[in-house]
Amino acid sequence: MRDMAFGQYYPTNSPIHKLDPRAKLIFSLLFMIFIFFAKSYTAFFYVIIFLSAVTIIAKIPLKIVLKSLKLVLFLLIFTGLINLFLYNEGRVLAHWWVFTITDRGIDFTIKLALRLSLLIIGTSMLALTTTPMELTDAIESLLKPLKYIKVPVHDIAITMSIALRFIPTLMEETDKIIAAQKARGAAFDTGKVHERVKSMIPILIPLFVSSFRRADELADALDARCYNATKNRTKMKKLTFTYRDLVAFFVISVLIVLIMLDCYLTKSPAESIFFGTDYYIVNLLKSWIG
Amino acid sequence: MKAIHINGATLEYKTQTGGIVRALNNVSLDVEDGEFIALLGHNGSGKSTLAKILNGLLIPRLGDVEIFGVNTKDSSKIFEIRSNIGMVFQNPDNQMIASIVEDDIAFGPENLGIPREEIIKRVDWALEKVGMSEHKKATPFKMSGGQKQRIAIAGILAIKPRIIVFDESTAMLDPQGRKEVLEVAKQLNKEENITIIWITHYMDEAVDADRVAIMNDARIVAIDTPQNIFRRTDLIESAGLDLPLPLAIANSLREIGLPLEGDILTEKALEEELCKTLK
Repeated sequence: MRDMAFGQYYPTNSPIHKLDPRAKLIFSLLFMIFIFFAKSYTAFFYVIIFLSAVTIIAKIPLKIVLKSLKLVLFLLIFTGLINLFLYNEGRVLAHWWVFTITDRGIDFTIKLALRLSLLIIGTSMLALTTTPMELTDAIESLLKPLKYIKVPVHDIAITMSIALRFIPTLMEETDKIIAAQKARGAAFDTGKVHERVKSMIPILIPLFVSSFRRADELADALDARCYNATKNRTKMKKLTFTYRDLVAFFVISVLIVLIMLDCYLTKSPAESIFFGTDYYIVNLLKSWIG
Repeated sequence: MKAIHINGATLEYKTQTGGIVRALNNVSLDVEDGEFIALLGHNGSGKSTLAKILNGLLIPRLGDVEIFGVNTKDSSKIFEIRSNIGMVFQNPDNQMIASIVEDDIAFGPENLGIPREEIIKRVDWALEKVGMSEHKKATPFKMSGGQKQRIAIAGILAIKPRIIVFDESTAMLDPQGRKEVLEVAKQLNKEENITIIWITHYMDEAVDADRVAIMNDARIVAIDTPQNIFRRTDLIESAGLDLPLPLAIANSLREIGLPLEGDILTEKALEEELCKTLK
């Protein structure tokens, strides 16, 4: 149950955990954008080095990090196979019926799988090192400018906070309802799919009814605690940028610069399947060998 | 100035079938600053409605409610009223808004725009008052009902109200939790001179109150000291309530001829009186 309230959060009290959640949120967004500019194996290597460093500093076991990939494993394999067999450009290595394997197909498939995996690991770093509560604060703080165009930023933040707060409560309630319906002879894990879906109705209806009742009582409790008493609400917890965030910003900037240099400044001939820096490294290796 | 002044409050609800139920019928009540009032009544007697007109969650159709001289009908002063009169509800789960204890307690003062340093002081003070200081950074989810309810009280205390209304705040708790919460309320009444309105249907929780009010059928039918109220057995029974257990036992013993003296409202009093008589 505790897991539900804290999502994936893995507490280790590392410097990464102590970064300002706003900074982490922005860094994650930057990471998500710039990973799509990584086009050579060299660039992917930079990203892997970066993520490994983050993982080590955050003291998160490799097992936990890879666990986030498990959910998308099917997607990875599926898109991988389709690309591998149906990508037609490049030198044909094998051909059977409609399936073709080409050198560029292999290259493309590996890069796609790498990009997806690194994207997911990168974003789960945010979830692993930041509590949902910190994220809510960060979102509220970052969206603050929207207040001037009458977006109810605080109401959105409090809604998110309450939603998080009620996840474990509603989970517990669901368990109780399931137990109560089982005691009345309901069967949830037998029968055909549509029967099983139908058997969820006696769980969902009481859950919805009680949620509305809770919402009603919660509204009274919010009012009783002077919700909306003033426009100039204060906050107990202040988010502050520190030198740590500056260091992190520097590191991620270096990563971005490396990726962009590789993407735009290092050119390779169109006929080579190697892109960017890879081409020069391969040539270097070739000249060494022969 | 009276802490609470209710004059002829009347309020009706519409039921789902279109009927009208009168929840409050010409109710008047005066409470002095620093009093501990227990409000007793069976389910549907109008107790909770009375609680909700106190901080302007509901406005009576007829009559007036004044909190330290401010009328709840004055919507411009509603937050002045709500910062003066806190309310602890029945279900502790449904009054917490944050996943971390200290964040939840800070919610009230944050709403009032109290400066940050002052909020931090208030959170520590409120947690200390309810004896939950060591749980400041914890998540309330795994706590017992009594602990959760004490955190809810701390959340109210941080607003620094002069009155706290407990609307059946012990109804969902186990005996241990009930005791903890009642103890905290009594202590706040004594040490901080906070006026307490203790709404309950447990008779034994009312015996230490300064005055006991009995509600029945949308009216306050009696208000007096616990000793005087519990002498009126007929009144209590007609209101659909039970006598406190020690008193019921004492009355039965008197019926079979034991000459027990005085007002026996607590187990301790019964014990002493029995020892004395049986000697």
